[in-house]
Amino acid sequence: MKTGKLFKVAAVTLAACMALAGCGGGSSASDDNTIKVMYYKTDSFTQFDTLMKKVKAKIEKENPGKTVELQPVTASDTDYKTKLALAQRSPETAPDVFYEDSSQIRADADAGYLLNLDEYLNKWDDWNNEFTAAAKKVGQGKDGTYAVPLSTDTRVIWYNKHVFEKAGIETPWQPESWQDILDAAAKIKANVPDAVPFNMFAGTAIAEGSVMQSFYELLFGTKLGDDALVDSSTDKWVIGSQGMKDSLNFIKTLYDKGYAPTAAQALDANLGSTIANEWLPQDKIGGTVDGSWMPSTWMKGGSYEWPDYENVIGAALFPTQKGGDPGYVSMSGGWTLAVGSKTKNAQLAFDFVKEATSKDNSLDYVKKMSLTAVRNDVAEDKGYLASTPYTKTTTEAVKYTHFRPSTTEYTKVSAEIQKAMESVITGQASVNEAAKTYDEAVTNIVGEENVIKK
Amino acid sequence: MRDFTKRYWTVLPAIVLLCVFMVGPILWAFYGSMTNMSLTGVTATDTSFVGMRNYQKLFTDKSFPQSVWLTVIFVVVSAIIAQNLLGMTVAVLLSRANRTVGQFVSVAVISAWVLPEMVAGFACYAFFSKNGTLNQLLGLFGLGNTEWLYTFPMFAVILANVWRGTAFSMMNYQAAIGEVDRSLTEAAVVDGANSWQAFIHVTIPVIKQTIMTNLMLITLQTMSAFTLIFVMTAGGPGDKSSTLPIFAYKAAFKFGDIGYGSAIAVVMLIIGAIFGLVYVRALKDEKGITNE
Repeated sequence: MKTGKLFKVAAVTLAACMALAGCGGGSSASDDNTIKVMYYKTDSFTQFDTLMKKVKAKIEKENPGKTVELQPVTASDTDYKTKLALAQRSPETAPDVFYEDSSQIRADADAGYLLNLDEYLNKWDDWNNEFTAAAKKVGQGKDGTYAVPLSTDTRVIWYNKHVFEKAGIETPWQPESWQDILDAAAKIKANVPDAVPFNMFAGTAIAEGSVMQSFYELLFGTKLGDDALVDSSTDKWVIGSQGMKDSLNFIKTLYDKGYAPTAAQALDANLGSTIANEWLPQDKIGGTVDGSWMPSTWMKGGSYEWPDYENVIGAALFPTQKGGDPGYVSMSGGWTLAVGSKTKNAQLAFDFVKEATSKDNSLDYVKKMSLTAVRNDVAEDKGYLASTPYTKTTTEAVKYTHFRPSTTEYTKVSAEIQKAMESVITGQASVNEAAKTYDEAVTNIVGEENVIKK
Repeated sequence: MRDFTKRYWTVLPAIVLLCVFMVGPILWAFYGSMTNMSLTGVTATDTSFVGMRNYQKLFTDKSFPQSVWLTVIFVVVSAIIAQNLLGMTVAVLLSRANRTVGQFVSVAVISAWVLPEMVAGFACYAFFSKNGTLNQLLGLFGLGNTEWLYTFPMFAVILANVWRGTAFSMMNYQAAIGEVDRSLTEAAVVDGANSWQAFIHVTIPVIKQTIMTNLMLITLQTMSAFTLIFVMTAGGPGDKSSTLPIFAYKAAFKFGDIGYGSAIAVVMLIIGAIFGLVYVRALKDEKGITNE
């Protein structure tokens, strides 16, 4: 009877365990002669994969007996980050070289996932002579450089000239305040009823994209400017600011008045590619705020080849709230490569990074993806300047650009902003409630001593 | 003692495997839930013990009661009510249907169960999405502008789970009804019972054990359903369809707080264990009438 009871307990435990389904992953241990390279690719994003294959061939040829094992992850960038973080937790699965989103560098360096590259970089002439000062800042951790950027990017407004002209708005168009955007959207709504007037991403489905390509363009254009998220003099997170409320309110207005896509569309993770592949080419949207890489979709070899895009699509800088100094706002992130701290072959791993970010490879990638150069020799190249008609605008945006705070809590705070945006556009919370929830959450994340009320 | 060794050494490998793959992770989840472990940042490697802080946070988190409530609705409506009753109904009807109809219905119902959960999830997404099958069908009647996954996310995932899971209950009940001794039902009919009365007063008591076991299994399966919901709505919009597994996943992997995610998982484990105990107790108290 006693054992019977035991079995029953075991059965219950077992059944309850179904609630905790575990998952395991395959792994292949690296040895001294192999380095593993992890990055992500999707159906419409294969440019990085091409680059990695090219570098692999070269490195293997120059180092006989060594193998480069490519591990492309077919996933969205958010899922890739999770996958990478999980892989980094164990020496068995940790890749030697990987694509690292610039916003993750500080946190991952603090976690001990990344190798400090100073020792190697100091001996690399290109790093000392060709990489711009801003580029060197991108890979900065607490105590040194942890990643080498391949390119940087900016955010601008992309608008469809056909829709604007039909709505009676003069092109080229350059808004000078938030009100200008609302006015243009109102005209489009009135005159071109079958087009979505103006998109700004909102919500957790677009994840980091909805802060980088939408919210920060608003927030950093409010009164506090570059200090709107983190106060630079005290290094404390800002709470209770009017800028936060104004920005949320702008997003809410855009959605409530029907200027933006419906809230349901906004919560679809594929909205970005729908806009790039369908709405903009088919004159179904007035404008959207997105990265300087937008034209890569339409260029030869992109996911939606569209020869006529240069005549239809215009680019404009995003204005500050009331047109005050400095006039415009942009955000920059960038593609970087980092080396894992658990690597057994640091020199080979670094050589891989070096080759991938060389002048030729960097130029090629920047051109194909229509990104912004991080090396002087690339920026001066004629081929780079002529790559798209928008290079002038997107490069001008560098003057007005902001970077995300490189602190370890950033990712969590960003998630809170995404939640706040989602709650105002879905009507789950008012602007004041959402701002209050955000303030509480940030205080919780960073601690009472690290926030400042503005 | 010798007896015990003799009898149980054969199951030793199974017990070892269980310890490694079940008990181990569970103990780890308990441990993880009392730390500030995170996916990245300082606390990813320099983890410290924080006692019950994650649980305190959980019980003051506004999303938690909502998530529990959604889980309860999901389990009660889709499993305990719909899958269970529908499975029983189909099983009873099948026991009387002719062969061709029976085979056709079985295949149709079971095919949903045979599909990998991922594929089933995509199928349901394609059915409910804005330009999906459902809206196209409704379009024939001039309707079809509802964004099902956005406006009624719980309704959509519940319906999807009913579609997918009914086969399990149906198969269980089919087997149990097949086992009921015909002389019992025939005796009831001779005594003047109609078929409904024979079903309620004879068949149900005989298969009571199967009903309880089935309820226990589908409750726990449904409580931990993840893929189906994640593929269809990813817990959204907002957190309108974030049942506990999605809530735990988001906390641990999307927002990087593994300690907090583990705490949610432990709470799920406890809720599951309570359900399990209740059912086992019920099974023990009501042995039911048997064929013997």
